[in-house]
Amino acid sequence: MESFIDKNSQDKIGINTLLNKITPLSPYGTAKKKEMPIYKPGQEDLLKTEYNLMAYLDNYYLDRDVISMLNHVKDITESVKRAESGEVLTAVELFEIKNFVLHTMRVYKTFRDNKFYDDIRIERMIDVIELLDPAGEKLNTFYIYDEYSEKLKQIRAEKTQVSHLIKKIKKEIKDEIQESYNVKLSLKGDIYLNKSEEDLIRMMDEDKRLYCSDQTISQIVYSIKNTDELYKLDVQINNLKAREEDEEYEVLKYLSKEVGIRSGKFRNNFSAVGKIDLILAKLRQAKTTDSRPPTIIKEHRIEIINGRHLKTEEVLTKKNKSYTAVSIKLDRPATSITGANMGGKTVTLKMIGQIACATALGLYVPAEACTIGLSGKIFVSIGDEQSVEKGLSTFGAEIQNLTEAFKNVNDRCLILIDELAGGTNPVEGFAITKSIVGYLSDKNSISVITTHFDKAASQEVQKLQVAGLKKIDLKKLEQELLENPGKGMDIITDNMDYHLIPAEDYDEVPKDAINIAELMGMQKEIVDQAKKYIEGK
Amino acid sequence: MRLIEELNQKYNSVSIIGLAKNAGKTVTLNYLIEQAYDSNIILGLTSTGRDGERLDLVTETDKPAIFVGEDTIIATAISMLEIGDAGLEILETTEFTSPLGNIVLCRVKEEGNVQLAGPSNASDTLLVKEKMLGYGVDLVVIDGAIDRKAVASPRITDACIIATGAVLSRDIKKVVSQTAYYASVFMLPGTKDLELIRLKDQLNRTCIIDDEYHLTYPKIKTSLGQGRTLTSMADEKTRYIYLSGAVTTSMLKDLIFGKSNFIILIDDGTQVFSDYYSFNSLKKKGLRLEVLNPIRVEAITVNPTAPFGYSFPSDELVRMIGEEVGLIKVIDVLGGGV
Repeated sequence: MESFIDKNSQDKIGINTLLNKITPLSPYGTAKKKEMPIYKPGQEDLLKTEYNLMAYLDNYYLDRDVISMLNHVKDITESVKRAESGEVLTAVELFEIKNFVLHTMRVYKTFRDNKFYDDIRIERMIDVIELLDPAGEKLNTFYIYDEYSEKLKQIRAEKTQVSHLIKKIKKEIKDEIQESYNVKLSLKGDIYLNKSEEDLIRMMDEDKRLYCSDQTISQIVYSIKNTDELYKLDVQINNLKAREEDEEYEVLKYLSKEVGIRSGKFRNNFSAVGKIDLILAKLRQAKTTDSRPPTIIKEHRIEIINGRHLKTEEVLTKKNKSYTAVSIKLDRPATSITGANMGGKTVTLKMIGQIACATALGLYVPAEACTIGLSGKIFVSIGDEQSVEKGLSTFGAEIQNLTEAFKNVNDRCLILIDELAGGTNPVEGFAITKSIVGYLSDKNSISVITTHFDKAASQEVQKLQVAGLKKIDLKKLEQELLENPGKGMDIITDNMDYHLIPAEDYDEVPKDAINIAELMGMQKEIVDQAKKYIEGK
Repeated sequence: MRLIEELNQKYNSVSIIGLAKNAGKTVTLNYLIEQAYDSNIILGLTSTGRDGERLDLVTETDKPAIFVGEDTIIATAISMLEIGDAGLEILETTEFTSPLGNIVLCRVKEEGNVQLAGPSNASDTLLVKEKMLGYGVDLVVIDGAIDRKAVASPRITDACIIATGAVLSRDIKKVVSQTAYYASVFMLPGTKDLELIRLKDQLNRTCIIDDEYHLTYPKIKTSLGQGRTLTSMADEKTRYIYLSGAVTTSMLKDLIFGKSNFIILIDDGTQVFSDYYSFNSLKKKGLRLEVLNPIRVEAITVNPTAPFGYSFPSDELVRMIGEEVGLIKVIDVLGGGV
C-alpha cells in the first residue's frame, strides 16, 4: 500500500474511512483484509474477476448458514501449524479443529458447484470428522473417546471397577463403625468428637480400624484407616491412572499426526473462508456507503458521475447538511480547477483520490457510476499544518513533495495537487503554477490541479471551475444575510453550487472572493476599494 | 432434608461467599458436591477468580481439591484442564477471559479432581451460568469470595451461602459479630413500596426520588465520593436517594449528615463496601438503607478451626452465630453437618 500511495496521502484522501467500515466476522477474514492486494495497471482482468466474485457472493449476502459459519469459526492456524511440525495437540485444540471442520462443512455445498471461483471453494473434510467423531455421535463436543484404542478402553473399564470396589469397601467399614459406636460420620468418613466424650475417645483409640487424624483444644477427629486391601487398591488405581494418561497421550499423538498430514487442505479452507468473509465484508461496506462497482478499462482515463467524498459526507450528515455529489471527466493528462474559496475544490480532489484508491483495492466506489483505468501510483499534495510544524514552510514542503512525485511522472500516476503555490507571492506563484501545469500537460499521468490563478492553464489542459455563486441572486443573498447576522458561513455554504463546469470566459476576472468578503460583512470601504482595483486593471 | 436437595428444589443457582481465605469455602463446596453426588443432582460448577488450588499460595495451607462426579459440568480456564485427573469432554470454548486463559465448558466423563478458575467478572459469570443451565444441569454452584461478592447479587445467582470460620478472629465474639454483619448487609430489607417496585426497571443511574416519585438526576458521573452533592439536592420532599454502583462508608456518612427524611436505596447488598464498626455506627446515627432486590442467604457454613492452629468449640460457634442471624441455617460442614 505504502508504495502505491504514501501514508500522508492516504490520510489526506481519507481512505481509512472506507477501510474501517470493512469488518470481517472471522479471524480468517481479518487476516485476508490485512493482505488485500493493490491492483496495478496490467491487472485489470484480475480486478474484474474480483468484482465478478463480489457480484456472485452478493447472492449470499444474507445467507444465514454462511454468516453463522463466519461468526463461529475460530483461529486454528497455529494448531494446524503445530500438528504439521510434529507437535502433539491438546484436547481443546482438537475440539476447535473439529468445530472448524463442522462449521465449514455446513456451507461447503453452497460454493461447491460454482464454475469460476476456485478460491472460495471449501473442501469437505469428512475424513477429519470421522477422525474426531469415532463413535459417530454427530456432536460438536470432543473427548478422548474409548473408541480410539482398545487398550484405553480396557484401562478405563478396569479403573471404574477398582474405584467402585474401593467405594464399596469404604462404605462397608463406615457402616460397621457407625453401628458399633452409634456416631455420625461426615460424608468423607470422619468422626468429630468433643473432648468431653472420654469413653468414646478411649474406645476409638484402641480401635484398629481408626486413627486420630486431627485434634484441637476441644475437638478430636478420627478417620478410617486404610486396610491392606485398600492400600493395594489405591496403588492399583494410581497405576491405572498413569497408564490411562500415557495411552491418552498416544491417542492425541496419533490424532495430531493425522491433522498434520492434512495441513494443505486446512490451509486451503482457511483461505477460502477468509476470502468469502472479506468479500461479504466489502459488500456490507458498499451497501452502507451506497457504493457501486466501477467499470474498469485498460486505458488511463477516469470518469466519475456524482462521486462523493465519504469523510466529508459523514461530517455534513452529522450536521444535518446535504452533500453535493460532483461529476468529473479526466480524459487527458492535465486538468485545472479554479473557483472561489469555500467552493469545494479540495473535497473534489479528495473524492477523486478516494475513488481511485478504492478501485485499486478492489472496493466498490462511492459514486453513481465510474469508468476508470488503473493508476500505478497515487500522489496527493494538499497543504496542512503538519508540514509547517515539521519546520518547512508551506511552500517548501509543497515543492519538496512535488519534486519527489514528478520523478515518476511518466509511470501512469494520478497526481492531485491542491492550491498550487498558494503560499507564495502571486507573481512567482503564477509563474511556477503555469510552468508546472504545462509540464504535466503532456506526461503519461493524470494530474488535477486546483488553483486561484485563472490563466495558468494552456490549451491542452482541461479547464474546469466551481459553479460557485455565479447563478445566485446576490441581492437576495444579501437580504438573507442581513436578516441572519452571524450566520454568514452557513448561508454561503447553503447557496454555494459545488458542481464543476467548464471554465470558459477567461477575460472576465472572477469576483466570487470579493462577493464572499462583502457577504460576510467585511468593511464596505475595503470591499469597494478592492472592486476598484480589479476594474482599474 | 439435605441442604443440597433444598437448594435444588428452590433455585437454579447458588453462590458461596467465603468471608476470608481459609474460612472453609472450598470445604463447603466439596460438601455440596458430595451431597449432590449422593442425591443424584447434576451440578454445574465454576468460580470467580481462581480457587481449588492444592496449595494456597498466600498462607500455604492445604486446600482440598475439588472432586467431581460423572456428568457434572464445569467452567474453568483452559490452562486448568491439564492439572486435574478427571476425564473431561470439551463442550464449548468461550470468549470469556481470565488470567489463566479463556473459559472452557466441560462435561465430566470420568470422575476425578479438577481445578476451578472461572471468569473474572460477574457479567461473564452470569453468561457462563446460563450456558451451564442450557446444558441441562440441575443446579449451578458458583464459588465466590467476599472480595468478589458481586456474584451473590440476585442478578447473578438466586441464593447464596456464606462461608465463615475461626480464621476471621482469635476472639469468638468477633467471628460471630463479623459474620452477622456480612449476613445483615447481604440481607438488607427489600423495599415494600409498591410504587418503587413498579419503577424498578427505570432505576439505573444515581438519582433523587421525591414523594411524587419524580426522578431527578444529578450531573455527576459516579456516585462514589459524591454524597454531599446529593444531599445538597435533597429537600423536604425527597423520599429516596437511589445509588447505583459501589456504596462506601464515607459516602453513607455524607448522605446521612444532618438530614434523615429519606431512605437510601440500592439494588442489592453486594454494593455495600463498609465494615462492621462504621456500618453499625451509621445505623445508630439513623442510616436507613433498603434494597430493590434482597439476597436470599440460604445457609451459613462454619469452619471452627483456623489454619494457624487455634479453634473454637464447633457447637458453641454454630449456636452463637445462629442466635445472631435468626432463621438462617448454620452448619459446621467439617463436623458432619446435616
